[in-house]
Amino acid sequence: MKRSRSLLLFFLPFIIFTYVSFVVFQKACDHAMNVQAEKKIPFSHKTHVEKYGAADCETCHMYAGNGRFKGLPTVADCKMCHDGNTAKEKAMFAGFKDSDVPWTSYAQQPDLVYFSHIAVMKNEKTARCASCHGDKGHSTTTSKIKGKMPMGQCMDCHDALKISNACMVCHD
Amino acid sequence: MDKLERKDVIKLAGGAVLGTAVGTVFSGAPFLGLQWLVEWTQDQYVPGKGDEKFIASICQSCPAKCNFSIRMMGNRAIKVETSNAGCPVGANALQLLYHPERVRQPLKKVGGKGNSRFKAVSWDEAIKDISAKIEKIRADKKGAAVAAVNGQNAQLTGQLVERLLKTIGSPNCFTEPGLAALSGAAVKATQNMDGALHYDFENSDYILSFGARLVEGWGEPARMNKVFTGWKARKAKYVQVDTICSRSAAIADQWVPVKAGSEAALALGIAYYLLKMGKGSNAANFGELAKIINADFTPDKTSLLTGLKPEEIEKLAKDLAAAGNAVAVAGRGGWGVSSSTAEFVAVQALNSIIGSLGRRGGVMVAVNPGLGEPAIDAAAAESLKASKKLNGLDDYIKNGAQPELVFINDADPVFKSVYGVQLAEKLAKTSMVVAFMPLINDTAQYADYILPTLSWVEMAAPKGKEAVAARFESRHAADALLQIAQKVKGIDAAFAWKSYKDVIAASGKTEIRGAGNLTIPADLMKGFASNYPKKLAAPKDFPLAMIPFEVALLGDGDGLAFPYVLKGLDDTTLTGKKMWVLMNPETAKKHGASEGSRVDLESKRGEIGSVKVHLTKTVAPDVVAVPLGFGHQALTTYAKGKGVNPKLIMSNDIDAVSGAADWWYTSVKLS
Repeated sequence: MKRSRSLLLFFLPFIIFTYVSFVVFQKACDHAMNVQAEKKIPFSHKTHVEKYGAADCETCHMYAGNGRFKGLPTVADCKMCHDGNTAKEKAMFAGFKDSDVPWTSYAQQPDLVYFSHIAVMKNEKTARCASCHGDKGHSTTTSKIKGKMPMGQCMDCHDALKISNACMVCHD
Repeated sequence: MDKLERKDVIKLAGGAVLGTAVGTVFSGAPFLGLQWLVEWTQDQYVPGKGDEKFIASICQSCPAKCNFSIRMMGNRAIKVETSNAGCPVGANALQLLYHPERVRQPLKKVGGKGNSRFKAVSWDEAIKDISAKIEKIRADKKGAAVAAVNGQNAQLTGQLVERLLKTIGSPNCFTEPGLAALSGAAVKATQNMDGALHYDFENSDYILSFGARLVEGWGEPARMNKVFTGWKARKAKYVQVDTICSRSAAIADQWVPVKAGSEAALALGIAYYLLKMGKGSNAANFGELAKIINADFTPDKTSLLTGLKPEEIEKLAKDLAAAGNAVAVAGRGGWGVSSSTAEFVAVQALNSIIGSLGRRGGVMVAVNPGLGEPAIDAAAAESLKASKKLNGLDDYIKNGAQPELVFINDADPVFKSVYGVQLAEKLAKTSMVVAFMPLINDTAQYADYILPTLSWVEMAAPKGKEAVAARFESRHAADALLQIAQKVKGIDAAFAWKSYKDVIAASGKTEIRGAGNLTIPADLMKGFASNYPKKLAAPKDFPLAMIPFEVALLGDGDGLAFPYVLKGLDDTTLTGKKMWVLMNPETAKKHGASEGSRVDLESKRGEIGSVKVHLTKTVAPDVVAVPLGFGHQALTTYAKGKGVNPKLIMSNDIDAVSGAADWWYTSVKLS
């Protein structure tokens, strides 16, 4: 009796506090990682990639004429295929202008670094979108897949491909 | 329920604490916390708050004076932008502007020479002491015991230094050996005028460069960058003659690989074919040169010297002759240039034959009257007349008398000259050495006064442009020189300007003149031709040819002071403190070296070591390619003690006309 009481005295708070601290810190991490970034329109990459055969990421995530990477598509880009004529589409696009981007990005590139998508993607090296962004193409929801992209990640690939890691390549 | 005893409370508390710890760890928070810590530490130096603004400035590191836009936060310069202009040197301005080891105030030596201990003094004290020294030297009629070394890009301050020396009565004002000095000597020898060769690259359609690495900091780097993009746009052909596939050769339209040191032979070998095609030149004494060409630079002989087949030499001659605006370029190297006057004459002769002298896209002479001749007093005039005029710095170091006062103007001859050690000995015995520079380099270790000068974005800019505020107590070297000269009775009249802005206004503009009246110095060429094959033949005990190359941004040494540059060196250039040299795989195998082997290099002058070997087929067989710029004994903690300085063992034959040693080609062995 004494023994089980002893164990209870230790393990009861242990389990409670493990659970509570786990939940609290996980929420804090999610908040820090901006996992709650606003995603106004539900979207399934997998459906689009498989059902509509849009396997090339550039179909929707394209480059402008001057080489700038456009990032998240606008409502106008969606309307390239989804005319907005069916009731379902009308409901989905209600309240959005063509120029709106109905999702907030999970990550922002800091001011101190220069990164060009076209320089990394459009050469004979092996980078694919998933190399840095994870397998977004087969995701069914808009939840975050890839965490931070610290400098080391860029440098590892540069090392492997024998591309220079001198400071000036990415920083002013 | 039992009462809670102390040990029970401990169990409860322990469970709670351990539970919190486990929960925290498994939530991923510590990992994220570490990432956050990494980012936080990197954010620690953030430029001070302040209004963001962009100032339109110019870079004054070389005569090109490129436009800069400098982004400022408050009064902190953050970024230098050089849209379609500028070069890496200028873009690195902030590395010098905010260098942690920048000299802040005038420094005066304490203790003996060469042990580089200095104390801070005021400008007034330094100027008073230096001008007093000048007065004493003039009073003792020892005007000739003064010397000065101007850095390659000295421009206006160089003119002031020369003026100062003339008024004191010394002819010993030298430009650090390099393109400016060699070009000047060549123009003097062939055109009998004071000027420098000016190549009209902007209008050339065919550029045949004999070892001049045109896009590696040669000449005016920013101008060459612009000129190069112009060639690409116009589809002009750039042919690089080089012993190694240097960056210039890699980027050129054609690389002509030649045996080490044989650039001049190729020039004369091409001239042979041009003469055969019926071309000629109306340069004075050309007949003498034609005799030499036809006797010593026949296709077979040239082929032996250069390693090219006669057909290849002939093709070059044909291409050169057929091109519209062709030009041949002399001056081997990038930022640091080494050549001989004879080589310049050979290339100029080629230009003469193809008619590119004084013609659009060809070669002219740039003449700058500078500040004009100063009025000098009788004592100075006498001293100038009596002194033996030596042609160049290396000649002065070897054969000149011991000076009593030396000015070093933004130069590093102790490091860069092959007579650096002898110069250091001379400076150690000089009673006053005054150095004008922003960082303490190898030469400044022997200085008695180090006067801090401005970086190239702090210098007052012309109308419509701004400069960054000067840091610490730095002054423009020209201002410092004016302040010193104006305190010396008897010469102050020749320096009646308020500041260097007034000097700029007074300085003559550079004029570009035709270069048609070429005279071939026949004796020089005869001597050259007879010695040449012997010179190129590697002695049995030193079978390899050591050829220099430059690492990007490092130039011939000054760049290594910048942390940015040091960080950019890859591990086939510098690892830790070990420098790497380049060799052809076959040659390495023959001499028992392999990738990463540690070797020492030895010439008949001595030995340097140890370096590591990197194998690459971009280097000709029987050649060791060695990077310049390493092996500093000072020049900030970033450069000090890294690698070795090949100048210590490089060839030191002094070219009689230029007075500069030609260190390009050295016979060495691995030991």
